[in-house]
Amino acid sequence: MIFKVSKFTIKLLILVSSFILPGFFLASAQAEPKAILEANVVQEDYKTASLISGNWIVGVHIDAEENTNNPSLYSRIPSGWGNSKFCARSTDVTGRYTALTEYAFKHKWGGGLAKLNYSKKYKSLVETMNLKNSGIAIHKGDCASISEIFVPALWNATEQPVKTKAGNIRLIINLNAQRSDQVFARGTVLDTTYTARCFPLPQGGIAFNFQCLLEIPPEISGTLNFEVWQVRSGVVAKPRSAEIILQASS
Amino acid sequence: MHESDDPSSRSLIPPMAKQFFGFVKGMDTVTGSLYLVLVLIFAGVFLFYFLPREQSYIVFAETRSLSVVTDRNPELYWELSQATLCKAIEKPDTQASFFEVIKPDSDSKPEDQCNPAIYDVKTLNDVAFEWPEGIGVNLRLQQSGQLELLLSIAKDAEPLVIDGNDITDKSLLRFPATLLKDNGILVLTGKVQLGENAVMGARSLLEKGRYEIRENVSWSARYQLVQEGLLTIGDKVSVMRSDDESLMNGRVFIATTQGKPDLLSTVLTTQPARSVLSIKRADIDGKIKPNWISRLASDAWPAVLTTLLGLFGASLGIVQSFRNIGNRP
Repeated sequence: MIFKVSKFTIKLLILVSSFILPGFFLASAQAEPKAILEANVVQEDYKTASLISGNWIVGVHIDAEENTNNPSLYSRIPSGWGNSKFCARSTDVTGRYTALTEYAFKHKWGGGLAKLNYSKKYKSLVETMNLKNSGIAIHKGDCASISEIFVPALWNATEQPVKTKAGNIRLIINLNAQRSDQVFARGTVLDTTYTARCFPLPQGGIAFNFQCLLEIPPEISGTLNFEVWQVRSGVVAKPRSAEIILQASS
Repeated sequence: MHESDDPSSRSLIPPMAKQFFGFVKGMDTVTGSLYLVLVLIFAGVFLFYFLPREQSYIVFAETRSLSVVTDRNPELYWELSQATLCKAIEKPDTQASFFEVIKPDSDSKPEDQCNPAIYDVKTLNDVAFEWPEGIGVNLRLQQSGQLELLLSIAKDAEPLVIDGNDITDKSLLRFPATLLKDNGILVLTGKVQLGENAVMGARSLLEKGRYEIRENVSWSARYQLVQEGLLTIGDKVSVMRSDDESLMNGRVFIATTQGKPDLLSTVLTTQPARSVLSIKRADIDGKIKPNWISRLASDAWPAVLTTLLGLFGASLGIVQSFRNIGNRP
């Protein structure tokens, strides 16, 4: 049986496929999360007043392509966190928007990428947040606990990290170092030390005022020991440290 | 006829205005004209004070810190006797070996010393220099009474050279406690912020102060006080442009505070421009700008006008009374 295909049908097919195919390839480029976790919002507010943040690390992120469907939050959660809660602390640079969101796995967790559903209460505000004007720090334990063990977040971003010219990925760490003139930092993982570049943010916010960039090879998995030296009036304070658990994308 | 069917009820003239015109129509020509003149005067006065105008600010503050990003001002020249320069070693953060030599300082270390892993320390005997444009200066009074300047120099900024030393970004310039007593006031011009964020452990807060807002309110070219207020501990004060909220250039005078050696006495002034006073507190981000009520309340002209109109009205009343007496049969 022979079908007669008109020129109009061909044009229509080209037109339809031009819309469908890019979407298909984009979808396949983003890795599928192994789990989607519901958000347990412990606190979320936008105040007319600024809150002074008491945490010194207020954002641990991987620099990635901007997501078009925000708010979105992904993270590679290690298998060891499967039995406990973990907390996402979010703030904008002014300290007016703050949120504490707890997550927990219902089933056995073998580690990998998880999509963390995020509150839509302040959707119009949160969807415009980026790594310059906000920070999110995902730490082990519930939101009442103070932990210095973090996993990097993909905040309002896709799963595709931005690569540097050297092919590295970039960790972006927001610090609340209010009284510091200068900040120096480095990260050590698997016996290799990587020097960070830390600089004050021009807007000098209440919630955080310094940002550190740490470039590391994308294939590294392990616990990165992040050390920070703060300098004020020529005096170097005792370094502070935190752990950032890295998992390479498989 | 039902009210909604009345064509006059669908008129564009509001009912109050119609009542007024009806009221005026019922009068004789002189009285009606007088009423119209009064209404026009009232509308004119309201419009005059309602119109936005330029503000000039004067901020008096007792503070331990202030920040300035210098503007282009050839008169901005400092000539001082002695200083200590802690010249920041350039880009130590890019050298992995830096972390091998950096050692935290002990808590008992005197605050007038600089960590040798980060700074190259020099004593300067001839501190005479011109401030180039775009230099970030964070000036703070130390507990020892020393005046310390943290200098932020952008990559594309003009070089700052002091006593033959090309100053690097994040260098510290320290002056002895007797600086202001020996040399008189210091002046800086540019984008000024008085005080610092009131955060845990802050030591260089603005302690107290007050502000004055001046506007050209009357027909004369004189700028007069239209609003004033107080500053409180922890305030961070600046003047911003109304349109884009960017910091405005101003001039700040820095002097010692009588009887309080641990505080700087500062006066910030700005040129007239459409601007707002920004006061940041831990719990308030306030923007202060006079409105038409403060203009009206601070200007003597409305009071003069009211008195004159009152006198005029009273005189008319007296004349009318005499006419009524004369017209009696």
